[in-house]
Amino acid sequence: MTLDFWIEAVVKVILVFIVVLTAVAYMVLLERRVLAHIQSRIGPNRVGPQGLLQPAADAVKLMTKETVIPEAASRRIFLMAPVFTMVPALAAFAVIPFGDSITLFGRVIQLHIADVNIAVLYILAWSSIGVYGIFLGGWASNNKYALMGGLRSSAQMISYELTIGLVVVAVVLQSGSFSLVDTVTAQKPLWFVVTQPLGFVLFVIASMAEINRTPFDLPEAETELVAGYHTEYSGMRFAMYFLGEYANLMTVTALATLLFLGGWHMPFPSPAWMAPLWFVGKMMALILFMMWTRGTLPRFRFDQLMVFGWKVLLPLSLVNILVTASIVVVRS
Amino acid sequence: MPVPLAYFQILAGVLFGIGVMGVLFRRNILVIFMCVELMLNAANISLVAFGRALGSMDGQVVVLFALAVAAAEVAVGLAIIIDLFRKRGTVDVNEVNLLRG
Amino acid sequence: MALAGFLLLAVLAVAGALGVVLQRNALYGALTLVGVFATTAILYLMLSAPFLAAVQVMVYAGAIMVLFIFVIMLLSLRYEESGESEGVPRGAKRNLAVALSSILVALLVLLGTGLVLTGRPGPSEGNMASIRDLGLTLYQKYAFPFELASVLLLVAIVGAVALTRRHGRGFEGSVAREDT
Repeated sequence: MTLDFWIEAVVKVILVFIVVLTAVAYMVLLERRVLAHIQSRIGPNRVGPQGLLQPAADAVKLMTKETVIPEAASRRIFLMAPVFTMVPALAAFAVIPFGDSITLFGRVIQLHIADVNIAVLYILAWSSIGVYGIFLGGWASNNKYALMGGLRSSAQMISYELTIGLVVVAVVLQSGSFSLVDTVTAQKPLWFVVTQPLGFVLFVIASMAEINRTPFDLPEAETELVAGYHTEYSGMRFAMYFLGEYANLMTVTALATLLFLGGWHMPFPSPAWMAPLWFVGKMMALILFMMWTRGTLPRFRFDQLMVFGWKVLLPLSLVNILVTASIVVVRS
Repeated sequence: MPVPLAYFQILAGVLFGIGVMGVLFRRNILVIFMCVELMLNAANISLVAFGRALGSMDGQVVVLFALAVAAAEVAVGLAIIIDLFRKRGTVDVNEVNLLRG
Repeated sequence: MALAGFLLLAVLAVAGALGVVLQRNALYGALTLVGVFATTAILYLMLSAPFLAAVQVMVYAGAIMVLFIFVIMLLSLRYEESGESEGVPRGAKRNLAVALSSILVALLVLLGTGLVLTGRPGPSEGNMASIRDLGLTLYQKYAFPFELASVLLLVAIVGAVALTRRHGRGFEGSVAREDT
């Protein structure tokens, strides 16, 4: 625990924090532009060149807006709930590796904040905590629509967490370790998306449901529930929910890239410093795919959603484990 | 300086004692149930500490089972509490006294 | 440094436990209990049980307490006075409760301090336990309890659903449909 170690750790944390928050802000802009083009319109392009200063304008607006607290709401919980959504989304980035290692100033720097041997479980544990933000916010608002949205959303998140967990089990079976760095290393010969395509599909679908994105966004559908669990939130707290949601999007796509798409491995040999760029590129491909589905598919009704999660995805993930386990056993 | 085993046991003991106090003091059945979970948690800490001190994995495995049992118990217990609430309309244990002699 | 960390965690855990027992509002008590479980998870990390730490957060803090808080919200929606009207009981009952729990705590503390004398190695040193060893122990030595635990969980699921059904109705017969 030398001084060098601490300086490196603090610099990495600050860097990741700033990059993730900025990326999340621009993700919102990207989504609005992508959705707009899918819907035959343009999207925000006035503020700054091609609308690139739009996130700054949004940030200023949200920060200067008054925080309205409903009178009969549970004040403490109301103020605390968005934290439970924002913190897990950001904390998951502590174990996500962006690349292998680079040599800078004579030191070998690993391109991750921490390489823990339970990295995948760590991320899953944080997403279990993320459920609290949703239904506490819904309940504390003392508002029928918010409460229903909150309960539905948390039921949905808990149900689809199971599928994600089981798909992760199958991946761990093949990679032999819960550590994300080891999982990426195990994909050097062949990406897991090739050996476990069903797992990949299940993971992407289940994570779309986990982060409350269309077609699984009934809990916050404007046409159904006003705005669901964040109906009564305004200003900075709404911004925290919003940012938490997009940060979650980045977390699950990063996880999908690391578990299935080979992390930072490049299909053709390239210099080592390009590894993070490949990683981000794969992430962006998944993110664009999710934005594309948002603009294309209608949303699930809540009972259809639950039936789909429990009666379709869960058995399929069990089949995935069975097949993967048999192949692993037969091979060894 | 490493933390002695005794400190973990003392912590577990204190948490357990607080849980017992909660079960004896409170009348809201949900709070009583939460204190039971607190006691289970304290026992788990004690088990893991012993397992580590003796260099055996058994401590962790038993705690894993205890966790599973606690989850099952909470599910059924809360179902019973909901049923009780529907029938009697109260969560105060002093008012559920039909069988009192 | 490990000692300082442990003391901090111990203080947080005890404060959380006292919060659970002494708070009138059951919902705040439940949230405090989540804090206790999170502190316990960090203690497991200190005891080199990383898998258990993650599972503790996922199961206890992430599932069991969510269920608890759902039920507290559900029951307090219809029964406004979710706390006791009287608060902490007075008189003989209280003195008996305090005496009993103090004896219990004292016995456990004696057990703990007694262990100091036997010179066992401290549990918070050394490498993290490998999940591989945990898995091997679980599936080789404890294979039968493992299967029993899965049957137990199945029984609990069926039991919980069966207890909260309204008779004569299907999906609509569960709690969720009735209230939300």
